[in-house]
Amino acid sequence: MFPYFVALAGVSVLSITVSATITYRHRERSIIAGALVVVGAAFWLMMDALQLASNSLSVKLFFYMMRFIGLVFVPSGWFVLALLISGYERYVKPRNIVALAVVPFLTLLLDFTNQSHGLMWSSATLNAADPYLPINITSGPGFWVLVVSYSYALILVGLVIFVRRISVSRSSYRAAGLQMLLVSAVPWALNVAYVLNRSLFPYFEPSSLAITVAGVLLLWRLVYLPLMNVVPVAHEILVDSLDEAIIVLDGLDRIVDANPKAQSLLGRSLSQAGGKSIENVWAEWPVIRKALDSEAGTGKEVMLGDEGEQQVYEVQGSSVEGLIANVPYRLVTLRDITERKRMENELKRYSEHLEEVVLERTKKLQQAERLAAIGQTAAMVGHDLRNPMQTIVGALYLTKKKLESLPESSKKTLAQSSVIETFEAIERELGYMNKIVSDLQDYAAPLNPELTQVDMRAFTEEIMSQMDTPRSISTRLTVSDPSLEVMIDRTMIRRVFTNLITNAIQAMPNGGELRVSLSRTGKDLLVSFRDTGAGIPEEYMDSLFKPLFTTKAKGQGFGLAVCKRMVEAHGGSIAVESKLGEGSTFTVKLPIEK
Amino acid sequence: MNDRGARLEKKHILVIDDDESVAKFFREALELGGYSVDTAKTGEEAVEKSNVNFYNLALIDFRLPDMEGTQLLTAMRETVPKMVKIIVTGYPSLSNTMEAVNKGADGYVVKPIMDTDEFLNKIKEHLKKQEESERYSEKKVAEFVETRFKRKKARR
Repeated sequence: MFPYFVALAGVSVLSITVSATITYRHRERSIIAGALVVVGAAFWLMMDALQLASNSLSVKLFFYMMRFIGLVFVPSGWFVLALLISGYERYVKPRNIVALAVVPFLTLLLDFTNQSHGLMWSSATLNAADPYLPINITSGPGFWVLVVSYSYALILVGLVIFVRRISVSRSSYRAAGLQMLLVSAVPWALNVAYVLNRSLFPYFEPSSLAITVAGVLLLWRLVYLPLMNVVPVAHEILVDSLDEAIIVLDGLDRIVDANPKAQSLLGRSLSQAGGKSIENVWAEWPVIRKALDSEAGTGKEVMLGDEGEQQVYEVQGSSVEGLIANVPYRLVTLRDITERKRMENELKRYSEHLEEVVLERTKKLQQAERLAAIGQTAAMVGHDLRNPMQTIVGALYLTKKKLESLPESSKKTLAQSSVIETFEAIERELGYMNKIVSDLQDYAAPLNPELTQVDMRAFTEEIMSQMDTPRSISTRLTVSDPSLEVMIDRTMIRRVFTNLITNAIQAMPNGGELRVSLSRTGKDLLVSFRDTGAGIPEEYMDSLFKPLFTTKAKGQGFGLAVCKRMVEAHGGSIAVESKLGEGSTFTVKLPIEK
Repeated sequence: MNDRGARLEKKHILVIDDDESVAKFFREALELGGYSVDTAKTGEEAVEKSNVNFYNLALIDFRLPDMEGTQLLTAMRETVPKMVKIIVTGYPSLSNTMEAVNKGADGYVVKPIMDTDEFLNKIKEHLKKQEESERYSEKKVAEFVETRFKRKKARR
């Protein structure tokens, strides 16, 4: 028996040392409770070991009696530990611990006074085969009630609490929980086996050894799985501090739990709302209920709150099963997504706007491309027209020369036939064709303005004085700012102004007034040409600056289009206002500073 | 006497244009103006003809089938530097004009030439200028020869 004694005593001492060290390093309540179990079991184990070291009945009986000192700590310690790691910390209070200590105290009282009543054991004899083996004991009712029943009850309740805890844990904790459960259950199972049939373990009672070893393992698990340790505590804090409102309902939709956020939504505290049907407590419940029953998607979003201050919530419901057998609890989560919704809407609006912009740009680009293609074609056509035109002009010239060399008599006949006038008409039209071709090529040519500093007043005055204005039209130049100097390409802007003045004059066949004014707004120079002519019909306004658009039988067709291009090449713009019968105003805007 | 005879001779003009109708007009108009006219359809033909014959003036189309008018200008500036070269173009632009002048063109006209008389006057002016500068250099040569001759005489 001696080797057994040494081995068991060694385990006992080692366990106490280990648990003491762990407790010293990690002074947490769950660790202390675990250590209590280990120390209790180790003491019990030591007493069992010492029993084996003696062959005297009285010595053995003494240690048998002593073992209960350790034993009583085991179920109580385990129970407290189970409470601590399963989220029932709040029940671990001094008052409850005192209550837990009552039965162990009674047990020890009976244990040490057994000689006078025999309630713990009624008889004890040495093992007939080997006196070193554990004594044969006939246990009394005190033992069965106070030790076995009470311990089993505590252990069982602890296990139930623990199992429930594990079943609602996330899988990562569940694995660790199951390990701990197994470690806790094995010694208990051994104990049950021993109590039912002692002959299975002839040399010593296995419970104390198993509990000691299991206790140390449990302690080690607790230390190296700190998560498991803090989870229950953290869980409550976490749930309470969540931004989501969380409400737990039982099968009859009665409020079981609600975190502070949910309480503020409900408008009452948990103590006021707890146990009451949510329908009676919360007017908004039907809306939420509807959302919960709907399919996923926008249906899960509800608007709560007063008009104008409505908040959008995303509702989520999940049933929590296994909390209490077969009664499905319902967990309702409400997440405030007002801000997210607002951002989403903003983003949506922005993307819609972006689409518009892209469409518009694409349209412009397509138009620009189309114009560029037209421009290229136009330039080519223009170029190719010049040779035939040259031939016609040349033929005309040569014919005229030949006619001039005719004898005088023939010339007279010619003069009567008005051939010369016909030739002149052809020449005029050729001149017009030439102008169209030139404009076409101008319009298609790339523009690179060569900027020089120009005094706009003098520049405009000069152009106006050079124009061939009919007497019926009076012209006037008004200048709001005496020193208007702008960087422009003289040739281009001269063409623009000339063109606009020509148009104005042509718009007033019966006379009128042309008013040119120079002014400045911010960083731009404004030059406006106002006539008192016929005005431009509304439907022409859009196409006015497009190439080859004209309302005149013989307009340039390119005049305004070229003007627009030239002004735009300066980074400026050209606009028109017109009223039928009152006249038109063309305004050229040129940037003063680049 | 030989000098005078040469001066009374018709001035020679080379018209370089691949468009036959245009070339025909130039020929007729210039012949009416009293010039002797030759035509060439390509740049290559123009170079060949100008190497064989003497021309006082060339009308060069800006775009030729085998080369750009400005290329032809460069080529002929080396072989016949004294010939007056006028570029004719159907595509007037500042950059074209500048390029032509930089490559050694003496003038620049745009098709269609609306005023043929004016055009002929311009040609006349160019040729007159050419004649004057030639006469000036002739005079110089004459002076040079004379002085050398006199010196030689004096030495004797």
